[in-house]
Amino acid sequence: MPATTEHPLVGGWEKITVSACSKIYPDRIVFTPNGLYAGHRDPPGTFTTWDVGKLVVIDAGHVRITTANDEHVTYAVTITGDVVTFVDPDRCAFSYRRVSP
Amino acid sequence: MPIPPLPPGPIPPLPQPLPPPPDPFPMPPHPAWPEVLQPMPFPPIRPPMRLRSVRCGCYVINYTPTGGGLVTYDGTLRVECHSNGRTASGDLYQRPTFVRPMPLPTPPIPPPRRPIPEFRPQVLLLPGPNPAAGIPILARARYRYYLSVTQILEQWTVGNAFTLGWDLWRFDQATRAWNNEGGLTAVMTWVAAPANYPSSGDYLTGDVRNGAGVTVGRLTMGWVSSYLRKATVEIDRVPQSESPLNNGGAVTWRTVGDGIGWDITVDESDANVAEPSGESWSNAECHAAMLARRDIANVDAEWRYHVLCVRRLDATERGIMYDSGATDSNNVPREGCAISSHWVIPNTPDWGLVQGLRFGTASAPYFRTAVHETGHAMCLYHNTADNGFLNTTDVISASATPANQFPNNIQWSYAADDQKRLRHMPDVYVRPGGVPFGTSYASTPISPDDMVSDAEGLDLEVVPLLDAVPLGAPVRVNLRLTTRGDAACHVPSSLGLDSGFVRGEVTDPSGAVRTFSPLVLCVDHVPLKVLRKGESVTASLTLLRGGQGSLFSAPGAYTIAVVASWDLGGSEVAVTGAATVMVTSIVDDAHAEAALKVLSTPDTLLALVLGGDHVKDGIAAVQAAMKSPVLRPHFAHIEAKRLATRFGKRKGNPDAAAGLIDDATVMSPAEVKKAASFVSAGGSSVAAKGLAKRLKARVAKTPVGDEVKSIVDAL
Repeated sequence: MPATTEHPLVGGWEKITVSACSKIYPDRIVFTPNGLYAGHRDPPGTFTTWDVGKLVVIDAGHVRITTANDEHVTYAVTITGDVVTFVDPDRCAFSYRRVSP
Repeated sequence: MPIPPLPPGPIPPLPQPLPPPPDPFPMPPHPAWPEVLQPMPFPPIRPPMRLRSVRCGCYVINYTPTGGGLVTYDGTLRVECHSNGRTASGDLYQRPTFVRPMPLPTPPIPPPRRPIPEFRPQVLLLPGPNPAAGIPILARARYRYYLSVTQILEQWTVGNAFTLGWDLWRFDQATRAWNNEGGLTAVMTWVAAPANYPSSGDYLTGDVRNGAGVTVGRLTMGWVSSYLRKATVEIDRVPQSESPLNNGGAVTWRTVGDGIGWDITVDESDANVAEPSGESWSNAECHAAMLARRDIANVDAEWRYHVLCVRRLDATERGIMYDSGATDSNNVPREGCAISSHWVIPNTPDWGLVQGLRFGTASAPYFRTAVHETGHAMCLYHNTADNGFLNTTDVISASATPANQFPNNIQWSYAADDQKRLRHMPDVYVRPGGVPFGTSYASTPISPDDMVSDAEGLDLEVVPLLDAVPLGAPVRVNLRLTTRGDAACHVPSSLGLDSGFVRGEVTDPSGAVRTFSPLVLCVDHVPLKVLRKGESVTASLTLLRGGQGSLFSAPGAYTIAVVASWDLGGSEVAVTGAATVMVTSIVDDAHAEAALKVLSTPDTLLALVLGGDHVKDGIAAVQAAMKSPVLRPHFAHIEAKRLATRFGKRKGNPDAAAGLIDDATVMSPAEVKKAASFVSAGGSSVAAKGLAKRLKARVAKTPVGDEVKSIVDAL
């Protein structure tokens, strides 16, 4: 099912992890209530594997996100307070902090 | 652009006139002619002025550095023509050499009577690309430089040369990094092309100089194609899947390519690809099938993008560009993509007119997905600037409305920035087998948008004559160029479309951009003038069609951007202005019939601009518009102008012209001035007097400028 207005991922997030493996993920990302997202890396024009796509909630601990080449990839996800942590299939863990709307 | 003050003291004397040039073709007196029959001296014949411009398309180029021995570079220069002039970019590949081997040792022979000459291996250059073969495809391993063109002839010149400037970006094959080796320029001169070029008049040469003015090489460029790049799309499929050849309408791979200057050939190849493990394919299976089934494997000889059509994909719903990262087993990235024909479109309102359909039967989104995935194979990423090819299907379907349902809201073109990337990013960025998917736009050079500097201190005001016009009517806009500060500026003395200084573009309600530019140039009559504080140059444009067809073809809000540009001391300067106009919907059957006739008749523009009786289709369209009460006011002056002007044996009929113009007639100030001439030509006729009265009433309540008002008031 797509993320809904009620899903805690909906909203804007800013990456707080600095690591080599998480570099391809966006610095900022917005998940919208209709299940879509848009990610951005600095400077503008820098590639990110989460550029634009769809987010599907699989269960409480997993989401499926379409990536820059249109592949659907499953990520483990945990939300603690205003921090969300994703773990990708290569076991790279990275976190975002919610930003005020 | 302030004008320098005159130096103090008397004005220096004018230089002596130049002596007459020698006669290049002196004619000796004919010995048999008596003196009285000597040829009459004709006045000197002025050579016809020839306007030259850089032809749009792809040029084969060669750059040979000075003193480089056997080092020479071949490649292409892409020249894109658009409303702002030219954008160009190029790529250089080092020409390979080969070594002629030493002769094999021979068996012992008796001592020679003479010494044997020493054999040394000989290094020779291989031949360069053959221009007669069109756009060359050169080997990736030989790639060396990207040319980010910073200066080119934007419009036209009456001379025989122009300055080409570029930044030379070296590509490091090992690190995939770019290094700007600095700016170079060359004064490129048109010369006759060698025999193997397809256009003898589009070949140029020039010495290349570095920033210090030192000659560092020689550049040649010869036009070979109206396209910028060329590629092949090969489509292989399982028997159950459809071939994505078009959108169910007029959009095909060729038209998609035409939109970006790519010459795309479709190779509809295998229809019997076997499923390795059932209906759904993994990325690795897609890649293996591409390697096994594609017709040509050498991406150094051809830019071939492979599209595999299967029933289902493991990794996604509709399509994927699988050829990257771990899947890319042959380490040649971005050669192929795959789409799925048996995904079933959800039965939800987002999916509009295609909900519930099997994807392969929904031609429009199915074809769009194939184009989208090949866009990824060209190293483009998702782009939400509009509903173009690189937006995602999910975003487009989510943006549909009841009035504009999916897939009708698909935009059948690339977003403007993606168009530029496909035309001008370095070869190694877009070609299959180039840089890996995931290479950033930000770290890749690309030519700047245009090489025109803003004309500082000037404002171009663009004001539509009417804020709203009915569908089918031309849109009239008034231009006013003024100085902002105290400094005087050199500006064109005329801003009419025929001056050659003005062009522009119209953005329709869907975001599609169409350009307009002069149909006729009157270059002899538009010198620059000095514009001082408080002065202005005004003009009126009547817009109907442009290079891509009708400019206002549907109801909605349109943005009209106008660019005035001119040469100032060797540099091109420009000033821009914009306005918005609303095109209103059809109101009745007569309006619909007339609007259809106008919009579907290209020669309507010729009738508007040229006005002669020979433009029969255009005149018929104008006369159809005259029968519609809605459109008649917008075309009355156009028809009146034609009637008032003599054509062939038909005399001008200013009275008939005057009779067509009433209080409702839509006229720009320039057209009011023209209408005043009907009065003058009509003398004291009733029609002329009536028109004079109507024009005076009009200028009394409508601002038309001092010049036009005084002309009308004097009638």
